[in-house]
Amino acid sequence: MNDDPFDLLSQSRPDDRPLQPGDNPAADDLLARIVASDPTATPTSGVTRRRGRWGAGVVVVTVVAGGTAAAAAWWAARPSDTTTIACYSDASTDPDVQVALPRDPDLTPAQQCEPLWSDGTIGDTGAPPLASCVTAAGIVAVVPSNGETCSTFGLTPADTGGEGGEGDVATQVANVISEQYPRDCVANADDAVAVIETLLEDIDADDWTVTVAGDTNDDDRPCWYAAVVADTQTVLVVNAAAPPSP
Amino acid sequence: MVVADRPDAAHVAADMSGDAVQSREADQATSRVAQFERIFNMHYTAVERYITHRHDSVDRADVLSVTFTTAWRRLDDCPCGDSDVRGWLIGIARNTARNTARSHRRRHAAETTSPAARRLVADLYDVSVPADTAARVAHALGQLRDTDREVVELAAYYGLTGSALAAALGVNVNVANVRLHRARQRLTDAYRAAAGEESR
Repeated sequence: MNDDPFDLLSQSRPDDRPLQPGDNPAADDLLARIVASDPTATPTSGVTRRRGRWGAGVVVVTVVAGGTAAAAAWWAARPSDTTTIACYSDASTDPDVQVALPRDPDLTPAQQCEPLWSDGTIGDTGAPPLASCVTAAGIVAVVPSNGETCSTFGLTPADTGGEGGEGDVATQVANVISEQYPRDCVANADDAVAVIETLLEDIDADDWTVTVAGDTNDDDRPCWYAAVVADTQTVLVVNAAAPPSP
Repeated sequence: MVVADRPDAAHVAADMSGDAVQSREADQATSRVAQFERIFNMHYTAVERYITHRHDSVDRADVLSVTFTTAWRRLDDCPCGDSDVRGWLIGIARNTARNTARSHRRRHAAETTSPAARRLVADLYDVSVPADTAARVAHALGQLRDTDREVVELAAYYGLTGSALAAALGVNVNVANVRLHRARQRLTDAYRAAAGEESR
């Protein structure tokens, strides 16, 4: 007998047959209402997104255009040792391979570690998604994030230098966006907002606001990115040029 | 008179042209409705079940309504030609439910822990899995973090993998694959640990 719990769970997957008219009157009503509505109409019910306008958007666009989301995480972090970084082979406090490098102020820690994943030092197939965390010793450790956040590795969340108790949350926000926000072009502001709100939900950042600060009519900036503003507990959704092809 | 006929001919031609445009628009609208009806009928039950399982603190009818209305508005974005459509719909439902729950979280804090795992495993009894095995799976699922449990459920119970799973989770495919791999590993570890405890 198959003893894999995942396979066992898969056995219980329902074999859904398509709905037929009359199967579910509530569904029939919903379908009739929807197809009778104007698909271009602005929705008037359901989700209320916390959204606003951002007067100083130009500054933020500059931040985002100058780097990737990973840069936002680094911008948020403030290790006590600013001269050294460590590149980890595993998302663990005890990695199989740990390479120490002098900090290059012109690169993000992730950019410094990426080549080690191609030249055979750590790997030879290219870098996976990387996250910049801060170890208990105050050193930036660049770890393969694989969709997880720094705290799940057992590493101490970085201190953003913010006031009060918001620093750790801001770092978590920056890290989760750095790690999980799509690397390819997000061509719709609504999609970007939805992704970011989901990520905020994942880390229980209830008090954070998602604000669309870009210009939806700018064809030269077709892709939507996230920028973390710790002071105002805001994630700005801004548009910029498409990311370079891998 | 030929000259006198010309304006009429032009008018008729213009009318025909207008009719052709209207006809084409009508065809497009009909096609859009047919496409939406197809995905609605095909996936309504799964989306409803997903909301019931994962987000029982929200108004299911409201979330269903918003989900499919959003899908109707964004039909041009739908990956309707392939198997990703269920993941796309579940992704919309997930965001809708979570946003709704967010706004009520403080008032409904006790409801945010869904009994999804218990319900999911209860279904195992219906497919001839021995009761002790199902109980062990339930225990293992209960040991997982909610994010891992969600990935396992979406993959095992809703059949989402690859880009469909990524669409549901709102992450890229690589992240989705890694999250599933890790969640499965943790589930297996917890399951084996439960088996070890029983054998002691």
